[in-house]
Amino acid sequence: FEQAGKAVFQVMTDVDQLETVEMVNVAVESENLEALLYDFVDELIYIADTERLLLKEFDLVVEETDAGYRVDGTGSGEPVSSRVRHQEVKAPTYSDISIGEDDGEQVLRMFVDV
Amino acid sequence: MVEDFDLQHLSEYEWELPQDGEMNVPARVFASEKLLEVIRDDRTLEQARNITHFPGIHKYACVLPDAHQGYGMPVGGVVALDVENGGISPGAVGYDINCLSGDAAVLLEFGRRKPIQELEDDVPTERPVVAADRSTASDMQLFMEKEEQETYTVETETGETVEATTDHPFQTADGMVPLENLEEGDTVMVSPFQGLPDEEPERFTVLDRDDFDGEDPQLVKALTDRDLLPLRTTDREFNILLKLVGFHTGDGAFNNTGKTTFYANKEDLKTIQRDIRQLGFSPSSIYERDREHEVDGNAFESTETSVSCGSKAFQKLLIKLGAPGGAKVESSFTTPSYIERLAVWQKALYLSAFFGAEMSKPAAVYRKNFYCPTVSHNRVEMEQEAGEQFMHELKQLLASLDIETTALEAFEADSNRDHEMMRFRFGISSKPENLVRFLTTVGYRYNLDKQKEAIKVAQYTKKKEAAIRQRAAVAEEAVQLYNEGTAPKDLKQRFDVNDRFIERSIWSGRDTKIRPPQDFPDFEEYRSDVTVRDNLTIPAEIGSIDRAGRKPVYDIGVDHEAHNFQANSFVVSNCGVRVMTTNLAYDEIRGKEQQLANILFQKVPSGLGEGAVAGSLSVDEVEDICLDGLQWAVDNGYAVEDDMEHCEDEGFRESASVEHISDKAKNRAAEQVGSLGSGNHFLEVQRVSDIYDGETAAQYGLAEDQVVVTIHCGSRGLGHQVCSDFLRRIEQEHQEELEELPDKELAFAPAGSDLEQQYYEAMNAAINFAWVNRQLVMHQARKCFERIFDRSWQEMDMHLLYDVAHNIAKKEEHDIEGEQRGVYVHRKGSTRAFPAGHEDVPEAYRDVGQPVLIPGSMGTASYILKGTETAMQKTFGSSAHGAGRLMSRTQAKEDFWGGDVQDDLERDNIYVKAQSGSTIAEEAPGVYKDVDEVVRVTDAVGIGEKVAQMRPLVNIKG
Repeated sequence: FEQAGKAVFQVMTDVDQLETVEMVNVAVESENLEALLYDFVDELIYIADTERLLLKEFDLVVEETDAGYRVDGTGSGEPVSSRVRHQEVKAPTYSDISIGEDDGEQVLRMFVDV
Repeated sequence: MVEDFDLQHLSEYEWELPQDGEMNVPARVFASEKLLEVIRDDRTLEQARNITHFPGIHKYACVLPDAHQGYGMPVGGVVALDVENGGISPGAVGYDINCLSGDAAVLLEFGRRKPIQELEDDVPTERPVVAADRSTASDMQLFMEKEEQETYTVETETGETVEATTDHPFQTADGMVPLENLEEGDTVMVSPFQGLPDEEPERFTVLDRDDFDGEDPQLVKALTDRDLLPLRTTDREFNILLKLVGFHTGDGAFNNTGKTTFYANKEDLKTIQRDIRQLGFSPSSIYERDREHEVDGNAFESTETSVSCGSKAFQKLLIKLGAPGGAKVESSFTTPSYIERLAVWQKALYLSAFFGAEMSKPAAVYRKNFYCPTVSHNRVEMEQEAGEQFMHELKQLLASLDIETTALEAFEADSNRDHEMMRFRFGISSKPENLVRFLTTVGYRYNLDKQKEAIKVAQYTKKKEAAIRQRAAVAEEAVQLYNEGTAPKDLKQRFDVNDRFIERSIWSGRDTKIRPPQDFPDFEEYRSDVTVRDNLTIPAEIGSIDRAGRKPVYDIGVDHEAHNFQANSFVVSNCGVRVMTTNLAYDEIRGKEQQLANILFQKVPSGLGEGAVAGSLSVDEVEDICLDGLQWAVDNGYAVEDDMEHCEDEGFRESASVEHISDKAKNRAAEQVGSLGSGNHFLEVQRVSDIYDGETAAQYGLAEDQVVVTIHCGSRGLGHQVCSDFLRRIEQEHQEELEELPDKELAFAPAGSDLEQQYYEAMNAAINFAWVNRQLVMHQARKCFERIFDRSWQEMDMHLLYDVAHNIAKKEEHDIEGEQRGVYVHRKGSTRAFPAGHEDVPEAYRDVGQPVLIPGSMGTASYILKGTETAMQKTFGSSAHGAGRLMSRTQAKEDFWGGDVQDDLERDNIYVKAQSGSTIAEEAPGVYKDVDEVVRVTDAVGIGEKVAQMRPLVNIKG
């Protein structure tokens, strides 16, 4: 999830150029892992849109709960400015979404609407 | 992996993917060989096959020439899903009337009620009232009588009852809940206003041409053109006029240049505007004026809001219908002469509108009792007889509606400089049952404040009466038990009432009226505890739920929230295109392109964090935008009436509600009203480079070499969030139905579900929002042109040509196997293309057909086509929406570099400005299909006819 978050912002900007000057809390709970990924990305887009923040680093814990799964933690980055190029991501999608393993590595796959 | 599909070649440009396996219908592809090759390159056809799995799909799934792979449904796809299984209307009592017993009364337009079982023949004409965001009437589209089922009687503490089945959903403060999950003590929403029993009015002609003998023939023509002459008692328009005449008699004015003005609160003026529009006249926008008053030497200021209508014909019509002209206090008017012969509910229309203007609200006089609502009326002494007669007639009219009034009082009022003045006054008798009857059957109109207060008073009174009845029963039982020998102290224990009450009941006898218990709240306390929603519903506690036996149940469907299959996910952001004309010629703009590009880029917000034309709005304002559409822009100075008239649906989707739009969506919207967004959205200044159909071009206001402005953007974050939110809710609440479909992105809210209704309303709200967004971008462009050309936009004739959404689901009537049927036409990346003569085409274009706007990509041509009959037959009245993407954005970035693209374009005299170079690369001309080929095929298939071609001069991107 930490990498997924970073990937979403990589679509919006070049995350390597970002500084970590601000931090926000991110907490999402959903009924299964795919839904959690969807809702998590939805939340990140919401943060970008309303708080005008571009995030590069995440510190997250994913755990199983009674209702399904929960991701909880923080993201840090910097506010949108003319210093970094950026473009909008409109929404997450379920198109070809998958969470699986490849050669012992976790792979999360999602298309976002830009 | 891209699957290979066998297509049947039907004609030069038509191909079919035959129905097979779980497909419910075939898929039809409209393309040339060249475009088909491109279509085969991605997953467009696989997605086209997937969408044929939708339940209730008609004819075939359309794939348009510009189609490409989307999320779930291909972009450039059209499907029509049937309106078959049903519909609901929480019309009558804020309950969903899905499965009700036959005697349940449905509240209909114009304050009438009728048992649901008698509505069968009324389907084409009747308009039940829907408790949406506001209380609004909507078309009825079906009636169903179902087999006998077990029903239950639900009664609230305030005495509203309804019989329903256990699966029948009730509206509660937390959304719809099926009856089986409700119990005594739970709260449901009820709508206490009942209206009067429907009855057919005696049919007679109120006004005909003879009544306008000697008037300006133009004026008479204006009325006959609008079907207002002859005017009969059975005409729908007559009912609207009754309300307007009633209200105008209270709070209206005529001036001698032909203008008619109504004074009311802003919200109520919007209702008046809608009614004026329904008659075919154009109301003004809402006008605000600060006024200074002086009462008893105290000066104070207030803001007066009004709406007027400049049509002389409209003014004359109201006068002929009995609205008094000139100074009312000096006039000799009484109630209109025809009114006595009308149906009771028609009389109530006139009265309630007059009361909305002139009657006081009921107010608490002493804790638990009310002053009666009163009407006061002044006339100069000379006309006092007429004044007295007028008031007397009002009393008589009320008597004919079973409403008791207090005696008419007359006294000398503050006389003005010139005249002695008489004041007349009467009130509605405040006996509880009379007051409740008045408030729930007649009440007030065009006055939401008074209507809401009326509901509180009615409910409070009913509650109080119920408490009194209960006490009376206690008293009676106590007396009986005492007479039978029960000791007083046992009685006191037995009943949960104070001792004194028992003592008075058994010993003193009772000559005074029983009062409510001491702990019964005072009105002021009750009043501050409850909220009446804008749709005039109020919470009520369920008193009892009892078995009512097996009986046939009924169901009506209302357009407003028709239960149907609704493919949710693929109606994404309601993005669309609008084109604005100018009277500037290409020569006038030459040399100024760079300047124009700079100022437009600076002034039109685009991309993240750039802000918006409207600045930062509150969530309330976002909601107003969603509910009012372009009217909001007019009211706030961003648009003129002419803009509304040239927009699809005249810039206003009915059946919009913000109730189920999440706070998240509203928050995203608050800072984005009037912004382009990024991706493929843009603003482009173009020149008309070719005209194919001179006559239509002239109608659209287009000529060769003319400068036009095209804007392509949508409902921004709001639309996306609405889509995501509903997609997730559908996933959670309709898992089973979803599993039937091949792709999760195709989530739909099935027939009969709350989600279907909520989604439709939320989507309409998003469409209203999108129109306003594009309007504000256009407004900003007008201002930029004013700066560069040093002339007002009006002088440059910068008029809206058309605005059409191309990601949208709309309820429309289409010919399905020879039968007109209601279908939800889902157009994803597809433009509506209705032909000449279709009633949904704005009047301005009804003779030639709807403009179809096809933007190209950066650097390529754009086109304007017109809608055709062939489109109605072949594609549910739809046409292509643009060039269609050929290359993924990632691929584009690898193949193009933004700076190069920009330089290349500039060599062609096309000036581009974007937030980032990568956007330019992603949207480079080479990544799109050949728009010329798309338009050629569209024209050849006949689903659009070419009118004009435009070439870009300046392009601003997000």
